[in-house]
Amino acid sequence: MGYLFSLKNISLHYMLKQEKINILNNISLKIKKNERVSIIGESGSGKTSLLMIMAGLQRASGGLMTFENYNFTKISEEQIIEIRKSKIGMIFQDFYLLPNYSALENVMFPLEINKLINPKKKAIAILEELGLGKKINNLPSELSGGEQQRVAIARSISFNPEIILADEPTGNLDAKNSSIVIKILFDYSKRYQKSLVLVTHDENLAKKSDKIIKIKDGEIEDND
Amino acid sequence: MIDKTFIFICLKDFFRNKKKLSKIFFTFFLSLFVFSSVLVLESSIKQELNKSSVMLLGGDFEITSGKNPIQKVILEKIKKNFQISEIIEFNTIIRNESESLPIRVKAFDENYPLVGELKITPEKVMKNNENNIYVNKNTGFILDLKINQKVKIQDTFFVVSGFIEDLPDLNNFFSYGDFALIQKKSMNSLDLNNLGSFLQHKYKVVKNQKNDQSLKNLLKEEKNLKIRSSNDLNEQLSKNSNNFIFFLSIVSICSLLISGIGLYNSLLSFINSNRLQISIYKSLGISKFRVKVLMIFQIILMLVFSSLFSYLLSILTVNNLNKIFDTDLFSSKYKFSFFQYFAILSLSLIILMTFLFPITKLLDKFNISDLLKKNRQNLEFSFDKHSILICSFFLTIFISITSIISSKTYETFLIFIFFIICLVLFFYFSKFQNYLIYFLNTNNITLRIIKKNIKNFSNFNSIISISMGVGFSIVFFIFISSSSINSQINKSMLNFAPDYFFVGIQKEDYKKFKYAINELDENAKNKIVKISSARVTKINDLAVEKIISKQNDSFWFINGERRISWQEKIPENNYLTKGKWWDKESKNLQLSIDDKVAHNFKLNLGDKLTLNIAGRNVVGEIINFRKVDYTDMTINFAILINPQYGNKIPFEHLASIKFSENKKINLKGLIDSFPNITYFDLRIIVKKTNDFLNKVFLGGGLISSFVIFIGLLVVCSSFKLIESFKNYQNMIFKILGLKPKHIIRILLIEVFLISIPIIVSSLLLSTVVSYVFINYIIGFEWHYPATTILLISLTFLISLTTVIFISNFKNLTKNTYSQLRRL
Ligand SMILES: Nc1ncnc2c1ncn2[C@@H]1O[C@H](COP(=O)(O)OP(=O)(O)OP(=O)(O)O)[C@@H](O)[C@H]1O
Ligand SMILES: [Mg+2]
Repeated sequence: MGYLFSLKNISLHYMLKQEKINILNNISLKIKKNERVSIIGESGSGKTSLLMIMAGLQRASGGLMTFENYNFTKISEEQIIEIRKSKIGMIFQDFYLLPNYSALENVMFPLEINKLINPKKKAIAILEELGLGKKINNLPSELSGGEQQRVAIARSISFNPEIILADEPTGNLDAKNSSIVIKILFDYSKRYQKSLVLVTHDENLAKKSDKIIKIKDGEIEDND
Repeated sequence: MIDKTFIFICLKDFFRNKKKLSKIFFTFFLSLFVFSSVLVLESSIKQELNKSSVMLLGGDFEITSGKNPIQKVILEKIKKNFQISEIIEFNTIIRNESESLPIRVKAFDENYPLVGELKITPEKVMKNNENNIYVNKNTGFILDLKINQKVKIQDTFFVVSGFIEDLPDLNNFFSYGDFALIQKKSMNSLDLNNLGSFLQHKYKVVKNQKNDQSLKNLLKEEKNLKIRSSNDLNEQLSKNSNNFIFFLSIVSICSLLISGIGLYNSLLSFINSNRLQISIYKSLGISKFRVKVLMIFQIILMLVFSSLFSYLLSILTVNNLNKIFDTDLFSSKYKFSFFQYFAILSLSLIILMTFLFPITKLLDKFNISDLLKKNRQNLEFSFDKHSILICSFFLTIFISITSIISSKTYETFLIFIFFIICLVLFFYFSKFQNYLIYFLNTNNITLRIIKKNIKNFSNFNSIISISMGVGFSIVFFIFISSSSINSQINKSMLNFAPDYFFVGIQKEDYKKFKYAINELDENAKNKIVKISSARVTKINDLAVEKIISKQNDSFWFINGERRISWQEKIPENNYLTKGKWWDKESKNLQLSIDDKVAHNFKLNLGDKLTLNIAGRNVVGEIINFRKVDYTDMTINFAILINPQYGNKIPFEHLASIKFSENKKINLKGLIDSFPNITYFDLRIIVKKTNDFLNKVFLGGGLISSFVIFIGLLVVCSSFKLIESFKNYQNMIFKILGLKPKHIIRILLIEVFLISIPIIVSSLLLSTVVSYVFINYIIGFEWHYPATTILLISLTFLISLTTVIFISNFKNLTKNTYSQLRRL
């Protein structure tokens, strides 16, 4: 079976005042289509960094990474952007919503740049499903943290990407909302047979996925 | 409320903030730099121009008393308060053994020259016990004079002691061609009664530094004395230089306004970049008041630093301009003046105060919970009524102070009105623009993002629109006005003035003379006209002595013989102000009269003048008035008559010759073969006048291009204001799949959408205003430099594009994730 993502000996380091700081070392992992993977690890272990490399928002310092048939370590940034636009959905720890765009406009944005039909209808449907039907015209500043997070999730799945990279999507939510969000993400993944990478602190949540990857100090500790 | 530790915190914060501060320091500095350099340039040029005009006159004032000297009592009165040098001028003939030459002689006293320098070669060798004479080089050349050779004036011998290279008070003295200087004591050996009607006593006067009693006041009883000050040198020159100085002060006000825009924008971006910090301070329990003090403290500290820095730098620049432009227009010893620095600082403080209130009001809006929620949303800074009221109050103070200080209060005030109209106009203009954008309905994602951007950033866009609109209006206004002024100055430059006038060319010598000139220099430009002479005896059958008083400014017109001429066409440099050119059918005498004389004598078309031509009285009818500019030093006549009549009366020729440049001309042969011809050498005065005008020209060009350049920079920098907000948004665009070039395209289209209509409308506005300003306030001809304006606008757009491209491209192609973390 073809792998969607394949990382081989990925490493990442920063130079801080002549000193080399290793963030990620020798990360090798594979993610299949329609596979749900959890990444867990302590704060500062490098989970977000890994996710950024996978999203093409950060170039790895070494190693090899392919997405579908594209060699991410070789192709130009423009090409990566083009791939990300239609195939990779992102949910960030800090949401990164467009500040002056309403919830609806935020969700519509990827639909529009992907030139999908009926963007408004689709966006409203997703927002309603996430319980934001009454807040579609609110600006991010007029939403609570949890609501913002849900808008970010809606935005990431709206354009039907091949994979969703979610960085602690339930970090700001109460138990009830958490389970709604998680259900949506897993349902989406299963329904459309898309992959999901979930960064989380919650062991119980991680257990829902097909595979758990444990990161410690920038290295994969456990891979089952 | 404010204790020592707090001041300490302020200072520490100031230094910790240096990165943010340094970013806006540049705009701060630029804004103040343009203002302070214009001030320094202005006063430097004023000083030097004043020096030049004093030099041309030979003093601050010149008193002419005519044939007789000023009474002793009055002279003593003047001497008490002023330095004075007495001069007697007269026309005479100078002879060596074999030849003679008519010259103008100036007899000077021991105080001469009061200003400037008399340059003689070889250096002064006057002996005290003799009658010495200095002659101009041409005289020496024609009479073949050597040092220590003896020459004769009347029956007195003079020893040639040197040749004059340059003398300061050439103005007016020049018109007589060849000249010589003698000492005043030598006058005793001359027969004054025989020196003719051109004898004049002149007094050059220089103000004592401590005393500023007005000379005109002192002599207001003396109706016979004619006083000229260095300001009313010669009409054209002084009009040029006065207007130029007025223009300079306009430019300095404009630069002040540009500084205001720059200060305001950099303040906003400073406050904005401190948003997080301010919120954190507040959440830590520092009071609103203290936060404001903290910010104001930093701003004022920076204002003091940057104004000092820019003032010092502008002095340094101005002091080196002479070297750069190879001129002596700028004072090279301009010194730091505490007073001037204080003026710059306080004016910029007043500007600051104008904006400070609404901006510190913004601080109230910053608090941490709000900030976390509103994370990246726009700063909202619409002015409320209270702020507008306070702003207007300070603006009024500011306008009143600067208008009152200015030498032309009324005009300065008008410039401010122009500025305020611009402000209001462009505010509504930007609203209108946003309104129009609202109707832009499209499915194109690029356009939709642009529409959204313009709507979301409408606050910033208003600021940008106003900055750009006002900035461009000022820049274009300065540009159009300065090029009108410069083209006027260029016109009054004596580029076509001849080197020599030749008078007394007889009919029979005409062809021979023309041939001789051609032999000397085949490329010489010559203009030869027929002349005769006439005296005006009656106006409308009334004797002139009875109806025109000696006090009349045009008295010279009826005082003695006038040269008259006739031409088929209107002379090139004259134009008709009233009436028509010759009626060719008529055989009667028709007259064309100097417009100014006509005005002073209250003449009308159809009036009859009786002229005495060659002993016969003829009555002529005035059929037109002509504007005559005598200062261009080409051939000009106050009276022209119709050729049909002119060709019937006895005449001779008058020639003006301009030889090719760099060609050495030996006039001796020419003079020898035409003993009847007299000639005047105009070269020195032409050169002096041109040097003076050149200075004005260069100064105007330099100062206005400087203001234009910085003005454009300040306008350009207003776009920076919006950038930090857009950076964040653009980064998310990129995450969601927009390519950097697509994002930059969006930014550029947006900038063009905003700026092009503004450029066009500010161009229209400034065109109208500069037209009014040049035509009605300055009184020059309006000149529209269309191509250069197009070029300036294009250059601006291209540089703006480049700046936006470079700064965003760098951001957008860097590692996205690390960029995100930094934001
Ligand atoms: N630009 C950078 N320069 C130096 N070190 C960095 C940089 N970016 C990240 N790091 C370091 O890399 C490490 C991993 O950061 P990362 O954000 O991936 O952690 P994380 O596992 O997502 O933690 P958390 O669960 O708290 O979100 C951290 O120790 C951080 O200090
Ligand atoms: Mg993280």
